Amino acid sequence: MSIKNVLLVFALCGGSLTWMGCGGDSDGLQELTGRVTYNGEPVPEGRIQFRSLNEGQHAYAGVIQDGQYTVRIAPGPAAVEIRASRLIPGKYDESNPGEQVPVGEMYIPEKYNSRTELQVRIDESTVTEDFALEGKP
Amino acid sequence: MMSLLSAAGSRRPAVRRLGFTLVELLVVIAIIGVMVGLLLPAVQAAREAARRMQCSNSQKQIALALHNYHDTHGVFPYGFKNEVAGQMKRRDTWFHQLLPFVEQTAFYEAYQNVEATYGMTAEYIHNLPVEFAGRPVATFMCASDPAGPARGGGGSDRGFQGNYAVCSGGGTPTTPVLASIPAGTVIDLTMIREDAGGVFGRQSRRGFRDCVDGTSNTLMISEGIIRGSTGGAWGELGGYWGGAPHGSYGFSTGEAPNTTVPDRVYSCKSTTFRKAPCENGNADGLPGRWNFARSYHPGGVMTALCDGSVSFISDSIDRQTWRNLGNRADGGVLGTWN
Repeated sequence: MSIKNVLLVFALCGGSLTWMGCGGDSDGLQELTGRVTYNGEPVPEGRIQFRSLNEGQHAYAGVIQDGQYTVRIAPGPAAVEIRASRLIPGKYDESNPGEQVPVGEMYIPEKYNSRTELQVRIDESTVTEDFALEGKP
Repeated sequence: MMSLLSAAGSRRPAVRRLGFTLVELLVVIAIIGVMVGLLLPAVQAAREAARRMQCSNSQKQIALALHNYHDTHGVFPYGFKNEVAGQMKRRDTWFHQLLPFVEQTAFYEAYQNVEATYGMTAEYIHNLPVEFAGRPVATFMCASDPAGPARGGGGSDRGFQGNYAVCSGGGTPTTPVLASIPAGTVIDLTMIREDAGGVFGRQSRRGFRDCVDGTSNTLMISEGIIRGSTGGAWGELGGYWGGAPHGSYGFSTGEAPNTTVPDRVYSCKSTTFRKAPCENGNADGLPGRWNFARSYHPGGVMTALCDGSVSFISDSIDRQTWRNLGNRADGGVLGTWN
């Protein structure tokens, strides 16, 4: 066996191992990032959700942190829902006996979430999508 | 080939090589390496397949137990008991009612007499001590979930938390509602009510006759992910000991399995758990409570239908098909789903 053959065998082994490692993501989703502001200020903490308006109606959700979000999403038209909450000072819930827990409120208007009017179209080339929300301070 | 032929052609009996050269050894090792590399992922996949089969077996047992319960009582157990002031064992669920039917009769008897043993502690079942409520019941644990045996979901780490939940339905209205613009109807997924479209709910008394869509087209049981072995929280899926009125008794088919849309319960063990995001319904002031079906099985969840059959349902199922499966009387024609 010549040194050439040995090299060939090694190359084949290495090649097949490398090929195995390149499974890749086959879920058809792509990464989308962006900025969410409310009355010009970045939303400190919240959630964003894209509901596909295509047949499957799948929803893709992510966390908003310091006004930034990242979701994995399928391309196509989508309705967007954005939520963010804060605690109400001095308000407590006692639905569990003996436990006083602070209660919060969701402060984004419902035209941006439960009755959303936000709609976007995510193309395969779309990588960022920003949202500037307006409402009561 | 050339070297082999020439070796055979020239007979040199004096020079006989014994053993292998370094190069030959290296080649053999490389080939073995490749074979093992090919095999290892398959072994891991086989392990997961075995765990999934175990999970499917558990769900089959729970489904049969529910059938036996129906044979005895003429109706399925409630999702969870309506809370009445002054009554003992408040927040009792289907899990407790099912114990005698999964060969836990002794435990059930002890539970029946829990007032005599623990006095007023037994008013709320989440106040029962860990020696009692923390007892893991293997039938209600999925082998694929590394958190098991877990505790939590009922406000403390005293109560056992399992993986299985009954179907509360896909929310109302049951008809398809796209996120249409301008927004009209909104689907209400809230599970903590008498009827969210499925077979189980608060103080529900439904049986086979209520599965108008047919028992083979209505979901009964599925599974969830436990967000860590401990951590309290109210309402996380499987928190049978006290979390039921906050959502832990059941699952909603409002979103497809393993969705990235967060569960919404009273409070979460973790809001950003891998594969299982969650929202603090109370602290975030959000209406409605729900858990979605989730699992560690690649690509979907195991479910049991009302007819007792267990099947694997893919994450890519259409949302409306999944909702129709959860709802017992939607009248919708099911697309392909398994």
